[in-house]
Amino acid sequence: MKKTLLFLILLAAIVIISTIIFRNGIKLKGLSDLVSSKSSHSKKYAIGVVLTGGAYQQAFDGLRYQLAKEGYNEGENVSFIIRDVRGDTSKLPEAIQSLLGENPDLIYAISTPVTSEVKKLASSDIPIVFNAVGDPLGAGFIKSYSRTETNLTGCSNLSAELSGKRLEIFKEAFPGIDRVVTFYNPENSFSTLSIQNLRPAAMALGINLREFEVKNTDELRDALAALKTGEYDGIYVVPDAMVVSNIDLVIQKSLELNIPSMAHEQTLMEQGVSLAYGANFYDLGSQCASTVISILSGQKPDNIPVITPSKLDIIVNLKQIKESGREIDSAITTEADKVIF
Amino acid sequence: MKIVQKIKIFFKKRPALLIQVVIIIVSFILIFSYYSFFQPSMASVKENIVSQRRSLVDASRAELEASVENNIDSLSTLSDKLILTENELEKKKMVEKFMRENSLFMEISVADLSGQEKIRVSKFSVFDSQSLPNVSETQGFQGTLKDKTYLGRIEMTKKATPYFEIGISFKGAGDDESEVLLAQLSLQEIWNILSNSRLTNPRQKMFLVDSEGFLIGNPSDNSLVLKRENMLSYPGVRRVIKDKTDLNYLEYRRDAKETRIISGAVFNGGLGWGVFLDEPRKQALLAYDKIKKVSLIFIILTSSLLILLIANARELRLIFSDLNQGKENLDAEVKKRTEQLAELDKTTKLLVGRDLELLEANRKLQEMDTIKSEFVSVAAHQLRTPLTGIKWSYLALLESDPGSLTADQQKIIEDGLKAINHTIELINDLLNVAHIEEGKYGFNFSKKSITELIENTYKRYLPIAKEKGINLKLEFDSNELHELMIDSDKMSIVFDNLIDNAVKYTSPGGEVALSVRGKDGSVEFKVRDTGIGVPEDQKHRLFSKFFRADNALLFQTSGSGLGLYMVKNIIDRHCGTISFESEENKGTAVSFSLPKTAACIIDK
Repeated sequence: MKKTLLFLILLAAIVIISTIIFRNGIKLKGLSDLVSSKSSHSKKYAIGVVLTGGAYQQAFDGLRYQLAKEGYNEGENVSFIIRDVRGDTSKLPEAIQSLLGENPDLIYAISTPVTSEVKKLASSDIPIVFNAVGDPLGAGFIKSYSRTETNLTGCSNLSAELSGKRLEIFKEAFPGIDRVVTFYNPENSFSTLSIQNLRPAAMALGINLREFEVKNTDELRDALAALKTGEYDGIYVVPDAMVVSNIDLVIQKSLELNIPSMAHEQTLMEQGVSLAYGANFYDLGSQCASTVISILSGQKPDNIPVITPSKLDIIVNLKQIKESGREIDSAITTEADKVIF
Repeated sequence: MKIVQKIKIFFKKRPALLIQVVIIIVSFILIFSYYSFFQPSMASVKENIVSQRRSLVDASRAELEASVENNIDSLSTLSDKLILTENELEKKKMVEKFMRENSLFMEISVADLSGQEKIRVSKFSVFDSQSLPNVSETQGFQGTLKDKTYLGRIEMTKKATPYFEIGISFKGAGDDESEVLLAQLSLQEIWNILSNSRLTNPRQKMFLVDSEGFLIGNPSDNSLVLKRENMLSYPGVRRVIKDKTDLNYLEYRRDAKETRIISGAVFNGGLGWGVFLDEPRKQALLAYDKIKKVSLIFIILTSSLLILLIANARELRLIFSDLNQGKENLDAEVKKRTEQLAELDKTTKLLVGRDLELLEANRKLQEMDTIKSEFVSVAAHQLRTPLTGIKWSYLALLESDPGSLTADQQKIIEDGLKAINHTIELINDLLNVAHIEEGKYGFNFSKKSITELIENTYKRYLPIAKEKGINLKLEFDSNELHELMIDSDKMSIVFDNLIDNAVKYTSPGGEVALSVRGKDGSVEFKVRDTGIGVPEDQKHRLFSKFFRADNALLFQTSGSGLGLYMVKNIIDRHCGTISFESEENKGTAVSFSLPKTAACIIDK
């Protein structure tokens, strides 16, 4: 009788276990789903974005587009905390402080002054991805392009590196320019680097380059006032922070003298510069998405190489050129990535 | 159904055969399910997993190859255009234009057969055409001269931008190979292609290795590319790169904890690159492992069942036999119980029959009782009329002139009158009882002072008590006149009977007290005596018809035994309650209470 009982208990146990297994087995129905299911990034990340507005917005738009393409959709698994000071850099400290209060997973800083301020205010624990930075090495953001060894990495627009090439395009666009004037602050290492790249190019192109060392706005104003009609064929705008912040004075002078101007950034085209050659901010923003994703995936920024632009744009302000009654080489207009009419 | 029944009967008789059949079926299920479901499912899932990974690898390879080929084709097109002119400036413009249209080319130079560069165009810098170098010693130049189309190794710019060199030799104005085009192509597009590979889970990693085994693309960590990581020691990579054989699937152990799988494909043509997909085995073969686990459990359990069946075949047969025996015993028991139930049913029917008979007898008894009551009523009426006549005749004799009767005669008449009075009282009692039982005992209720009624009764019995030497007391708790809804004639009967009994059964020198006490909703009356009391064993019959206690019979021969019966019925009709306490030879106290409100009496 005992044996019979034991047997019946065993049989019941087998039935129960089999039922459990069978129930689990049902889940195998979606085998193909299991094998080919597309992964999703379950955690929600917060990305702080600091920018000064204008054309820099494109660097953010490119990033946002590429992140969405990689499965980081805004509102689903990623959110952007945006601080746009709209050209007023004095508001940067306050904007960055409020952003840090929101504990973002990383900060995307667009342009050199923004990155500088973020680096100053944020702790070294928070990853900073910069973009539209001309010389991250010279600015002290990184130790080297291949291995940054800091909490910063990102995308450089190589604006200093391109100084020579920019002059070449300036000459190509306006073949008649032989005397070019430029202004830079000798105390700014980035400006010095630009000038160093510019000089051999000028020599190679047979351009007579006149350099004015200006340490402040007054000196710039004085230097501009000293320029006479017919003395120079064009104004070359060095990526110097002080000069760029007074770009309206430079443009005003170029219009007075009726000579074209060449600059490094799309942002300056809006102010009235004739021609620009530099990184396409939108593309650079897209390129920078891989850096952002690497960091969100857990990589340390110090091990992620700085990305340089794969696409460089020529932008022609045809409207300004026509208004000043000058002619531009038609090939440049044809090959330009963007023409402002 | 017939076939099923037949099979059942067949196996019932042969339990050993049944067990053998069960063992065969279980074995069949085991083998069938393994070979028809588990094994093909596992094979199919694994094949699916492998083919999916190979598809991913092949798709990436095709895209990468197409990208490289496109760029080579573009360069060839450029070289074809460069042939058309000997003007260096025009050539430079052509190259500039080309680079603006093909942004991944970072630098392009044109050199003559001696290796002297004549044109160098960069996206980033300007070169003085007068000071261009001689590149005859470079690997790119020599490789291009040798193979006409050269694909170089991966190099880095100072800004850590990876690129590889493409060289194309092309004909000058004559038919001879006269110039060499050397271009630096950024790996950015290659990286983009790898990044955009449609990986199915985040733990999958795709990487690209050049013909020397150096990592040239690794979207999950491109810094390794910049470190020039050599992957030849990585499992499967040597096989693909050096043996130029595609790798469908290779499992390898990365460390003690993790096993991974890798698939790879080698590039066609001269590049010799290899693209690889690497991921944890656990992740990739999740579905496969699950089926394997389930099939293993199924096989173990089914085999256990099989072993159990085989090992316990004899015991099982005995169990079947026991069960059969048990069933037979159960059948017998059921039959026995059914018979018992049938017997019980008979008894129940008998009892029901008896019950019906008893009901019938009871009905007849009630009828007879009614007839009896009617007879008593009629007989009493018929007796009372002549007796009343005799009583009045006797009274006329006694009230006639004195001297007409002798003392003896008068004594005889007085005794006769007493007997007649006693008989009339008895007949009255009988009539009252008969009326009560017939439901014809009419009541005439009105609001009256019961105090007055009690006092009248008291006054009537006071001389009788005094004559007997009994102290009769009347006790009121207050001066309140208790006005109650009563039938005063019937209540007189109550008080008369109670006081009469008390006086009658109390010895001279004793005490009889009638007390009245008002309560919240009722008035309580008590007739207490120090008489002979009621024997304990007869108390339950005190309010029964014709009851007279044994000690009462000895003490007083006269009495009908109907008084207290009537009292109880009258009190009941007045919605009152009656009770008594008694101790033999010490006395009796009969208490009853009447409600102050008339609601119950009216409802009755």
